[in-house]
Amino acid sequence: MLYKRIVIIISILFLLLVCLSTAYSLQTYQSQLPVVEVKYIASDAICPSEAIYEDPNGGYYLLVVNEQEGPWGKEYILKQVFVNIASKGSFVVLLGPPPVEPVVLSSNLPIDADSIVNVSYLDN
Amino acid sequence: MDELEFLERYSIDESDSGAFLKLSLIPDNFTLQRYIRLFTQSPIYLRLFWNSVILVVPILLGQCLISPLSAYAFEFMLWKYKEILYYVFVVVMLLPLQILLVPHFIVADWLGINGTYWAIILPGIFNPFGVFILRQQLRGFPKECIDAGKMDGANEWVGFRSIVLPNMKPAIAALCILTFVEYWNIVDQAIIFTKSYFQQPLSVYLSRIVETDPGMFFAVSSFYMVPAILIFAYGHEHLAQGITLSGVRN
Repeated sequence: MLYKRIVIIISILFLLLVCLSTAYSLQTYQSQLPVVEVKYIASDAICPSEAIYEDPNGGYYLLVVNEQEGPWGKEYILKQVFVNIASKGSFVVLLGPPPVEPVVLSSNLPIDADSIVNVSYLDN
Repeated sequence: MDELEFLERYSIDESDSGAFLKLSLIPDNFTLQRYIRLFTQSPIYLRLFWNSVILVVPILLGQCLISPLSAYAFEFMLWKYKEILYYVFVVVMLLPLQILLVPHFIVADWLGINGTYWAIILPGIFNPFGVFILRQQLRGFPKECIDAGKMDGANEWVGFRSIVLPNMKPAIAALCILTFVEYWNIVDQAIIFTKSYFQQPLSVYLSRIVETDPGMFFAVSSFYMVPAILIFAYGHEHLAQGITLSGVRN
């Protein structure tokens, strides 16, 4: 009888540990993600120069935000979209159709393609 | 995998390097870093763990409800073709899982539950193994007890609930342990019947990270086997009793 009680107590403690760690890890995971500021540029094909990244192998690309299924619901992942540009100043004119997804303008932490991020939308 | 390779893999410690260190079963540099990462920074492992729980608990509950009733009906109720149907049950039970996956998939498609947990849960609930093990248990049960109950005014349900069911507890406990272990370690069905990566149970994910992140694999494996150990620790007496079919005898 004592043996079974010990097993039950260990089981409850284990369940409690898993519940608490799930809640905690979910919270820390969300709070540790980089926060990026994004903007839709599809309407005018002009974007700020800070949104343009130069590829080491040549060319320019934007980081756009895609929605995907994450472990606990929707999450945002960054993807590279290569673009041709007409001129480079404080604003850049894109040649060809601009991406329909929101484009990353800035981030509070270093980001790269395939980074999972939290998104903050800028007013257009 | 030969024995040497197995021992090498088994001797990986859970340090940051995650590389093959040396041929020893006990690592020199023991660290709990992977466990801390598991419990505090890896929501994916915990999500997949809960997926396993979501899969296993309904199957266990369903088996505990359906199998005793079916076993009772097969053993004590009189109806045509019951032995033929029971024979079909046993044949289905003996078929390998890989053969059953195709009909399961087709039926799940008919029912429109493909890509959901129900495609795994429903075949799990109606698994003939539970009926088989419980009917074997009931074979030695004295029918006179049920007849005596009926003479005192008990109907079929009361006879089942008050006379037969209490004597089936060891076999039901054994069935729960065996079913839990079977569906806790599920891989094939989970890969086929779930569409999203995050729907899959942790057992599927474990089989994927063994090569890429061996340190984490060992930590998550240790964590993942705790429920199975606890269930076994709680019901191991019933398991032995239920499997040897010695719960009830004249």
